Amino acid sequence: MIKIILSLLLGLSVSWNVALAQPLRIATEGAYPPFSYWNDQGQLAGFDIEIAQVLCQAMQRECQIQAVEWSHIIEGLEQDQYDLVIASMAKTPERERRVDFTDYYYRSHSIFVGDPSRFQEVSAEALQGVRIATGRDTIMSDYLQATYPLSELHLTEDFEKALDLLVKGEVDLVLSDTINILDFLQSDAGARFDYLGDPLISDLLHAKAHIAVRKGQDQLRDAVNAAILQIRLDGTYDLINRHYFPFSIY
Amino acid sequence: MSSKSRRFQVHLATSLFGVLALVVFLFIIALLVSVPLLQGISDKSEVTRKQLLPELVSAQRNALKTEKIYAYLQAIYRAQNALDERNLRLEAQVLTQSFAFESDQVLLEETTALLASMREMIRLRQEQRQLKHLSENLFPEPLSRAELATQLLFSQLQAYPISEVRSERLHQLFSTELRQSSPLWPEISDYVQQIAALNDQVDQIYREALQRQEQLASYLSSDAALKTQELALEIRNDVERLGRYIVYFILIAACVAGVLLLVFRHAVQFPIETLVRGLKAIRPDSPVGVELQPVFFKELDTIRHAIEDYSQMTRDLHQLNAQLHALSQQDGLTGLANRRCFDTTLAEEFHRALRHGQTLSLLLIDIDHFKQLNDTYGHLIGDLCLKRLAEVLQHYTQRAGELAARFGGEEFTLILPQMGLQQVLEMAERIRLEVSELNFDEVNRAYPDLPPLEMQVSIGVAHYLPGDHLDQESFFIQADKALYRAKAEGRNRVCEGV
Repeated sequence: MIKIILSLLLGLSVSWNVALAQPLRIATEGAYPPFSYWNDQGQLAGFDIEIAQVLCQAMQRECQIQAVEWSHIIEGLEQDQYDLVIASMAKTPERERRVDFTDYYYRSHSIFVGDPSRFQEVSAEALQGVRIATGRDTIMSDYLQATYPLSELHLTEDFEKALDLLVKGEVDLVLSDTINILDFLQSDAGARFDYLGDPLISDLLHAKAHIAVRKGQDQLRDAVNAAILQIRLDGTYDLINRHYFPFSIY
Repeated sequence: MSSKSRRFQVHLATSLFGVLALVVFLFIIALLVSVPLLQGISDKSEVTRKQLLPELVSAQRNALKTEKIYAYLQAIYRAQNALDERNLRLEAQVLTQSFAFESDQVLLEETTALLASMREMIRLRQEQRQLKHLSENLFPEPLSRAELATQLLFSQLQAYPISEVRSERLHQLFSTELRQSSPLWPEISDYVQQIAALNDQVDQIYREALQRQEQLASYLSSDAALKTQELALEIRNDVERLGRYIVYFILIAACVAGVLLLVFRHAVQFPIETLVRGLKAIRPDSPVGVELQPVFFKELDTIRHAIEDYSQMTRDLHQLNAQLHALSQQDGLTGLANRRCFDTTLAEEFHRALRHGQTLSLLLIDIDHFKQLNDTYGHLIGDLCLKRLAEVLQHYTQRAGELAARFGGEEFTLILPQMGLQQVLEMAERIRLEVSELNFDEVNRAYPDLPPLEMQVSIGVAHYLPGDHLDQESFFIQADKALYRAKAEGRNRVCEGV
């Protein structure tokens, strides 16, 4: 009898260890530089990816990072295709109904980018009929649809495509994250363009990036929160931050 | 039974309850004092953790960011081309925009103003570059000799970084003759004056921006650190106070414990010891009962009463016992020792004689014709005769160790230690004589028609001398045989056993 119980316990602990040893599956977008993009060697790189890696280290788990199309990224999490979404995702009421969010891991603003010689004003009236591009299913697209009903909106798969439209002259403005746009503006393609107006500080654009977990995965969420705190306090976060940005984005 | 009682007495149970209440009271006081302090410590550390520490971290972060703005200001001021200036400005812009997250309006306004200064500096530089570009067309081809010299000097001037183009430099380069001789001088001078004026403007903006940044930096040195320090000090004070209170509490508790111990010793321990001593002091044969001082606690006083009662009872019992014992050793009619007492005493005395090598004599005395006497005068007179004989025998056994006993019926016996044989025989003879001379006038008067009453005894004597090989039984048989002989030889005589 005792032997049976012992072997059961042993089996349980082994399966528990297996569960722990299983790699953490993480989804990111791969089209949002400098947070997440494909580098010249064809590998996923960026702030989000490095943060994901050090968070896994802090949690003492193996990491499996995959790029997922933005419009399906929440769906995949719900369907248990991966455990975490680390993709500069802002917390919105709609998303919160489907997934749980950790504490934020960086903050940023949205801002218009375009030709400064053509546009100075960025109010809804001033941009009547103006062609504006932004990523689909993002807080920016929600914001534009709500606040700029008279502008011509172009919703793209991701922000790289939106910026492509801007460069080709197919749209006049792009609304995106300041840090995301900084990369573009400092590139040759972006030399003609500039930030327009003040950054948009609206509740709809509350651009705090959070990590998403499946609903009810409280244990995992708490572990991630603890890991975020740990990397912030032990300097790992600052190290990565400095690598991508000249100042703290927390 | 003592009826003493103390004026002020307390129940032990009540006192214990009082002590318990005191202890509980002390604890409640300690609790009331320490709980708010502990709560305060907890609250303060919570404020430190949840409010001041994040404030500190955020202040530090903002300070670092404003330092970064300082770096951008310097870099833009020194930048030599438009691209660098643009990239720096873009970064500075993102950095400045990040302050929008902070609730601090001053920080946001100041950094926005700093960004505006950067933009203004860049705009002025842009203007300078345009001027420089235009100035390159100042010299038409072909050049005269004087113009050539001027151009050489001018290109020298142009080689300087644009921020170094100042009017003093112009005066150093161009001599007075050259100024007067060169037809292009007014234009060159005008151009340099413009650039220099713009440089002055840039310098002015730069200085103001640096000043603004400095003020901002000192504004940012938040008082969170000071507050944290103050709170930490308060926490330390609270902890020290708590420590002091604990020491006071322990001291008070120790004092109370000491007082309680003293009270216990005087009101409980000593009384109990006294009571135990009293209990031990109870002697059955002591003439008076144990009497104890009343004690403080009622319960103990009850015990004291019990002990005193017990002592009294023991004494009563002892007296009763002594009476019973005496009765068990006495012959009811004559008051002499009875047969049981005789047996015991003979055994003791014979043993003593053997042991100490002393003499021992035993007399067996039998009333002659007692049955006849009884038949003639009745049993009451018979009893009278027995009593009179007992009185005589009693008279002869006054010394310690001597015993007169009624052996049974009309037989009596005397145990006489440490007497010589002759002495004993003489005594026996005296007894016989005395008995025969007893006066029964009262009886004779009461019974005038009967012959006068006379009583005679036969006595058998056994005498033990040290060295005789004799046991107690044989000793008694000797006396018995002697008595038998006295009877056989005609009664009313003394016979010595052999």
